Amino acid sequence: MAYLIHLAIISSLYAILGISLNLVVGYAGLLSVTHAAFYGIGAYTTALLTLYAGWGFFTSLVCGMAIAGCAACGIAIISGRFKGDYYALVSFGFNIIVFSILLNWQTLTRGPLGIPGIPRPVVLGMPLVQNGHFLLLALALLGVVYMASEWIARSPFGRALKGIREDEEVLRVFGYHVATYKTIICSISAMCAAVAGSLFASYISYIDPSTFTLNESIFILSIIILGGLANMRGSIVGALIFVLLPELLRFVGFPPDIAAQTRQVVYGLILILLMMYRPQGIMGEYAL
Amino acid sequence: MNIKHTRVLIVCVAVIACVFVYYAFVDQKQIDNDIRIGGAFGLSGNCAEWGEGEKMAAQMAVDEINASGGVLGKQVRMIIEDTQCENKTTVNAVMKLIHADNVVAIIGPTWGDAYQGASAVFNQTKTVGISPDTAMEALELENQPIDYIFSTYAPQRKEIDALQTHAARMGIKTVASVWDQDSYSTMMTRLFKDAAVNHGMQVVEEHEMPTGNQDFRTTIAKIKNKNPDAIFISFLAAHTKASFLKQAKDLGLQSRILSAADIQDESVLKSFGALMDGVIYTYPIATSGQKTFKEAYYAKYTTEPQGPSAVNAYDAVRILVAALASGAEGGEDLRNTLLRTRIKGAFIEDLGFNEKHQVGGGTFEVKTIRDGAFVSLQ
Amino acid sequence: MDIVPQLVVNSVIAGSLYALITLGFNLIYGTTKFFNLAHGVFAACGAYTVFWLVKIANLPLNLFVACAIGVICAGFLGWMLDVLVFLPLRKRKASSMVLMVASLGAVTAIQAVLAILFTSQFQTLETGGAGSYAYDVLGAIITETQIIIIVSSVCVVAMLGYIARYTTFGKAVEAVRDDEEIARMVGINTNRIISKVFFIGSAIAGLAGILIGFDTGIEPIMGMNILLKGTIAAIIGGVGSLYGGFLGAFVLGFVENFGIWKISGEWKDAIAFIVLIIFLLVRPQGIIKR
Repeated sequence: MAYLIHLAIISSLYAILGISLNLVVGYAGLLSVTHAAFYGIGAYTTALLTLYAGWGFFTSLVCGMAIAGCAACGIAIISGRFKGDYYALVSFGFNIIVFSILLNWQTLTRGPLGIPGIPRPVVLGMPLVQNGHFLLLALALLGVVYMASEWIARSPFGRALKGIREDEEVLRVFGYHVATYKTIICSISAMCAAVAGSLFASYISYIDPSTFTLNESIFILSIIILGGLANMRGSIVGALIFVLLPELLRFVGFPPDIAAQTRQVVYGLILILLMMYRPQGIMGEYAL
Repeated sequence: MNIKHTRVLIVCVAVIACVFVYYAFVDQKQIDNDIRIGGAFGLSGNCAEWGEGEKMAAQMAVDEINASGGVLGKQVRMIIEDTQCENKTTVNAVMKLIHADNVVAIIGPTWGDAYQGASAVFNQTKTVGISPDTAMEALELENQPIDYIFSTYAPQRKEIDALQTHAARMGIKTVASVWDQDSYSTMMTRLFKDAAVNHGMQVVEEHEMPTGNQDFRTTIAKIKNKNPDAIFISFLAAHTKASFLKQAKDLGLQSRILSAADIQDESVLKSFGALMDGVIYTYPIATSGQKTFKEAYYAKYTTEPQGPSAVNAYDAVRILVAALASGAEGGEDLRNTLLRTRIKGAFIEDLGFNEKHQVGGGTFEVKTIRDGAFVSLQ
Repeated sequence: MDIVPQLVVNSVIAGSLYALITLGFNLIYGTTKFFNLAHGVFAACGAYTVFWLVKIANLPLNLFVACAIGVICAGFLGWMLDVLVFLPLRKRKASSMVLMVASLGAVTAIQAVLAILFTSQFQTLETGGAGSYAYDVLGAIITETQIIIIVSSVCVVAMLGYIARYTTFGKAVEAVRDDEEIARMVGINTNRIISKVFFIGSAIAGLAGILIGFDTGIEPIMGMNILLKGTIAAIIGGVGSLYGGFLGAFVLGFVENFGIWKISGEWKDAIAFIVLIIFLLVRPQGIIKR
């Protein structure tokens, strides 16, 4: 049972990450591969503030969101003029640069040694030491992110985003300030990713830069491609599948030393097959 | 949401429900006729080289123990999970072993940075974890609790002390330090730097490189320019060590090269042999146990022990089983018993844990690589 | 200051390796217009083929023959990937992002297969064990293998230039690069041309992998890092342009090595991307405009 609770928490984290990335990729049509950077910013902010400055979890959460949001603004302004695969490449670059900063700014982040001993959140005077209680917090935050994202998606703002996705030029002609829309949605997306980061840091209690690499961004992207672009429920389903499937496969009895490689092969083949036969994912309404 | 989506959603929910049900059954099943220990090794990812060797050595120990009658009349079963050398996946593996497989203790996980996420779990669930390659100094430096965590790897401070004593005797005064951005390498380098002054040495150059980097030519050129007496290298992955040593040789680097015990990796020696000549490092004094281990490993797997920590994994299993044999149950009881257990180890003759949960009994000798073999200098 | 000749040599060596990857990558991008993330894995494939022939199967082959087989195998695998995955997608009018994600799936799977077959252990292709012969050139040291690397990259770019200018095949590739629709209307079998381009590009990548194998060593994930650098070089130099990519590779090599000289080594990877972003902001079409 405890193992399932753990998996549920990890799934919620990835669901939050998936939903937030979906806002940018699925609704605005920007192929962003830098999500792990914002995830990392949220995690490190919470780690540093709760451990060294003694601030509360929720305060650090908000700070993490603010920093991630600002970083995303800056990045969106620079990458705003690029399209399609160039945008993806620039976002790769940003992920690597943020990763390098986390790794090399050692006086702040302690670099590769990481930050251990991050405390659990304290809710109403009670520290969430029990994983079951932490799960409730994670689900609550997931709920908030989900509802906020759905609301954005259904609002006029969301419709404008879809318009940008389909044909940016037309919207510009109609007077929409496309660059502003893109910047706003990137910031919101980054802020939600930071929420997941804060949860991650206080749950595992130890973070180091190696969690926030390009591979992680690609992983999150794959979750939403599988689950379906521009569909929030799809992102949750995608997150569940990507987290639970490898755990299930543990019991299938592959010899353990090639189990992980076999999983990678399966994962790669799934991506290829998806692209060939169902590029909009399981529940998506938009194909890349 | 249309009908098609609903169907897909129902299928997904059904699959997940099945997983839950399966686990519910697994939880009830308690196979009591085996003693179950967990093996959390890095089998894929950048620590795979260490993890693979550990897994094979640990399995060899388990097989030997079972062949000679098991423990308290029961067979030992090691359930192996892949930590994938990363923080989060290590926690997943360890969680599964503890909660779903109900193991009494865990051998592993591989490597320091993956370790620390899991160490919180060990302490929380009061499960003993014996890592074959972790430096306990990492936890000590952070003032982190080490309640249930043990390591059968070489205690770093002692190792560095022996190395620096020998270096001082060789007349080395200035050292350049090169390392990659792995937590182990970073820590070794820091320990080396801090202790250098006690031996009249000084670290004059520091070169930190990204993990996975294989092009050291410019860094080596810079070091050559300054010409320090020696270079202390600390890289975790074999490809980094090999690349550096090869390029150092190509570029005619004259300074002596110093390293830690992790350079004694049989399979790297086999691939890169002569390139490693001349590297000076320290290793626990050769015991008959080390030789027997090597021969047994070769007999079983027809290959040299892989990775620097295979023999440590072997010892980890054996000391764990010795503690279990004296009747200890899991958790706190096992931990206390473990602290009192001593066996004749392969890595170190007199193997036992000190109050820092490191293996205490052993002295280090200075070795080098000559003509494609690891030879002692003393 | 006597470190400068060595830095120059190091930059040229690094640049040549990047160039080999960039040339193949550019060739493929030019005709298909998507970032093939699987390009780097063919370097690993070529290298592992030679590894298998020389060290595992222990066939009594001349080293050159083994390398030639390795190069051809890499090319063949690239060709197969196009025929099995990219061609069907192109027929479905898939967007370049779909192709990129598909190539991502391909590289994940192929790398894992290599790891299963050969383990993740770092190996070297060299059989001598003592390293290759080194020469002293104006105060800088360079090994035999490294000279071969530099010479190879020059030969490859010369060969590609010749093909592009003087053969019908080359002109057909130009045509496809300019506009695939029109090329097809004119009667060129664009799909066949593209498949051949994949073969050549992947073969060049295979060559790069083999040379890296002799210079340092091989492991299943060796392609990814060098592909990233190769892509940056391609963009700096001018995506799709043959000589642009070649030039961009050397610019990158020089910036990296001279950069480490002045800034410390840990920022090496970030430097490459910062250069990329600066170029994208200031001169997105690259040094040599197509």
